[in-house]
Amino acid sequence: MDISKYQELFKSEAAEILQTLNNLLVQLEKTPASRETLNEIFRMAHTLKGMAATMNYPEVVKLSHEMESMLDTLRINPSSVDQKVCTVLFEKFDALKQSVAQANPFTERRMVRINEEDKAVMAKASREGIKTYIVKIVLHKDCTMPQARSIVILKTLQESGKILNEAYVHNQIKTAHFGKSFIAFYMTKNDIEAIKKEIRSIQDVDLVDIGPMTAEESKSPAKVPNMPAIDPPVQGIRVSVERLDNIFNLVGELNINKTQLETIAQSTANTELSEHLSMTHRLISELQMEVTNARLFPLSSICDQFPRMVRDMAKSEGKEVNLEIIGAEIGLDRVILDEIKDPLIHILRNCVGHGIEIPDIRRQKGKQAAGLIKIQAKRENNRVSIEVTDDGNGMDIERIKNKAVSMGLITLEKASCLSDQETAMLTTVPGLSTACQVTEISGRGVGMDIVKMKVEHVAGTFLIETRTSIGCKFIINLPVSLAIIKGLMVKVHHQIYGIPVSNIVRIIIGDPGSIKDIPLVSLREVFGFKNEGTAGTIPIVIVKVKDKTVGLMVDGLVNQQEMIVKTLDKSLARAKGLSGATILGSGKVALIVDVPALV
Amino acid sequence: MAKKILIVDDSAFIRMALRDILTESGYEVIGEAENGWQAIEKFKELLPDLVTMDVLMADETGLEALKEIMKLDRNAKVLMVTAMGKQAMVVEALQAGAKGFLIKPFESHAVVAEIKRILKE
Repeated sequence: MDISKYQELFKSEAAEILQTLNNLLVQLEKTPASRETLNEIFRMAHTLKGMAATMNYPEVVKLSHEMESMLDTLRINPSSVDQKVCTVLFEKFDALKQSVAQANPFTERRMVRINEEDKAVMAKASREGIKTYIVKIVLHKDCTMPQARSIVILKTLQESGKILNEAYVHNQIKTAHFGKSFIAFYMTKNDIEAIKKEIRSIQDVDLVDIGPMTAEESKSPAKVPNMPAIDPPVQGIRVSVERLDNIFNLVGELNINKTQLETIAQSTANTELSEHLSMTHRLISELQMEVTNARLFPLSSICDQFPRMVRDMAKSEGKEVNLEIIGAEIGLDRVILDEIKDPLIHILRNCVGHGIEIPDIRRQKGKQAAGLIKIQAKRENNRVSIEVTDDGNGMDIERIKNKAVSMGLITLEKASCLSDQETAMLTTVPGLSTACQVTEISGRGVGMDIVKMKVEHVAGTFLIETRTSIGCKFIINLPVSLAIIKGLMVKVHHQIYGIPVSNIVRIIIGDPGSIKDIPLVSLREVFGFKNEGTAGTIPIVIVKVKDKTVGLMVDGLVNQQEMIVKTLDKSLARAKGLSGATILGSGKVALIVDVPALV
Repeated sequence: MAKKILIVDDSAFIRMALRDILTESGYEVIGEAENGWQAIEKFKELLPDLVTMDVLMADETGLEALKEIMKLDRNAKVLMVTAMGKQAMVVEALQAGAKGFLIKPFESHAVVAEIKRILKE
C-alpha cells in the first residue's frame, strides 16, 4: 500500500545525497587536506539534516548533525584530516545510511510548522480541553479532482474544529505537483477515532493518519523554516521500470503486427496498404527509439558504489588504490546494466586483489605507492565499450600456460605459439578459471569465465589484454540496447533462423570445398539435423566476432528484417548456438543464432 | 420524515436518473429546476434540505445560483454535480459554500453516500 508519498520522495533524495557523500568521503581520503571536498561534505550533511528535520526523523537529524559539526571543525583546520578521521567519518556515514533506511514517518513524531500566533491559540485552547492533532490524509490514486476533494475534507474538518496555518495546507494542495496527500494541523474537541470516521466518510480518501501534536513539538518549531515539507519533483515524473518494460513490449508486439501486415500487403499487392504501412513503419520506428531511450540508465547507477567498494577492498588487502571513472553518464539499457554489474565488480575485485601490488613492491618497481584502476566508458554508435585498466602486475602468462597444458586444454606446442592476449583469454575457459580459483595458481583469472558468459549473454564481447608488470586491461563491449537488432533470415533444414547483421562480414555463394582460409561451421550440424551432403554451391554467411572469422553454412537466404529479440526460457537457454527468438511476419517463430558461441 | 431534495440540472435525463436514485433511497424529491433562476425560485418556495446543483448548465448559472442560495440561507446544503475536468469551478463552488461534489458519470451508491454525509445521516 502507498504509505506515504513524502517518505518516498525523502528516501529517493536521501539516497542520492548518501551516494554523493560516499563518493566525497572516498575522495577526501585521497586528498585529505582538500577544503573544497570538506565544504562539499559539510553541505551534503547539512542538506540531509534539513530534509530529515522537515520529515522529523530525529535519528537522521542527530547523526547528520554530528557529521556536520565534525566537518565544521575540520573545515577550519583541513590539515588535521588523516586516516583516523576518515575512518570515523566513514563509520558515521554508515550509521547515517542505516538510520535513513530505517526512518519511518508513522513511528516518529513530525516536525510542525506553527507560528507564534497559532501557538498562542493552541495554548489557550489546551486550557479549554481542546487538543491539537497532526492529520495526514492520502487520497486514492484514482481521485480525479484531488484539490477539490481536499477542500471538501478541510471544510468537513472545520465544521468541528479549527485548522491551524490554513495557508500551509492550501500551499500543499494547490501545487501542480500535488501528490494527492497533505498534512494539516487541526484543533478540535473530538477524539482521533471521531475525526477518522468523519474523514473516511468522504469519497476518494485512501488513508488517514492522525497523531497528537505534543507540547514539545509545538514549542520547538522547525529549525529549517524555509524548507517546504515536500519538495515537489522538479523535472518530469517518475515512471516505474515495470511500466516502461510494458510499453516496450507493447511496441515490440506492434512492430511484429506491422511486419505481419506488410506480408499481407506484399502478397495481395495492395499498394495503398503498403503506402500507409510505410508511414506506420516510420512512426513505429520513432516510437521504438523513444521508448528505447527512455529505458536507458546512466552507467553511474551501478558505478557510484564502486569507489567505496574499491576503497574497502584495498584496505582489507593493505593496498592503496585509486579508482577513476570516466564516462559514467553514458546510458545503457537497464537489463544490460543489471547483467554487467556483477562482472564489473568481479573485475574490480581481481584488479585490487591480484593486479595491484602492495605499496612496498610498487615502490621497488618504481611505481607510485597507490595503484590506479580506471573505468572508462565510451559510446561508439550503437555500442558502448567499458574498459577497466589497472597498473598492477599483469597476469602470470607462464603459469596460465602451464596450467592449461597440464589440464589438457592446449598442447605444449600450441602454448608456445600463444600470444599474451590469447593466453589471458584462456582464463575465461570454465575449467581453467575454476582451477585457478581453487589453487590461485595464476593469481588472476578467478571466475573470468562467468564474466565472459554474463557479458555475452547480453550480446556483448569480453577481451583481456595483459602486459607483465604494466597491468591488465579488461574490455567489455556492449550494445546500448538489447531488444531490436537487424537480422538476416536464413533457411536451415526447412526452418528459418535469424543471424544478427552486426556479426556478418559478407555472404559468399559458392562451393564450401573451395574455401580454405576460413573455418566453416554447418548450422545443420549445430542444430542437430542430418547433414545431407553439401555438394555444389550453397550460401555461406561469413561472421566475425572480435578478430575471429567463421563461415556459417546455410541452406538458403530468406530476407533481412528487424528482429525483436525475445529471450528464451530456461530450458531452451542452454541450447547450443541459440541466443533468443523472434516472430516472423507470418507469425511463426524464428530462432536467433548465437554467433559468439559458434566462432 | 424523508429529507426533501431539489434537483437542478439542465438535462432531463440526469434529473430523471437522480430522481430515481434518490427516491429509491428514501428521499423525497420535492422539485426540479432546469436553470439557475428557476433553482433560486424553487429554493425559496420549497425550502429543501439539500440541493443537487449542476455546475455547468446551458446558461452557465450553476455557480451564480449557488452563491444566491448561500445568501438566502448560509446553512444551505448544496451538492455540486460536475463533469470531469472542471476542477477550478468546483473549487470555486466549494469556497462559495457548496458542501460537496459528485463527478459525472456517477454511481448511485456514491450519490447516496455523499448526500448522507452532507445531511449527517
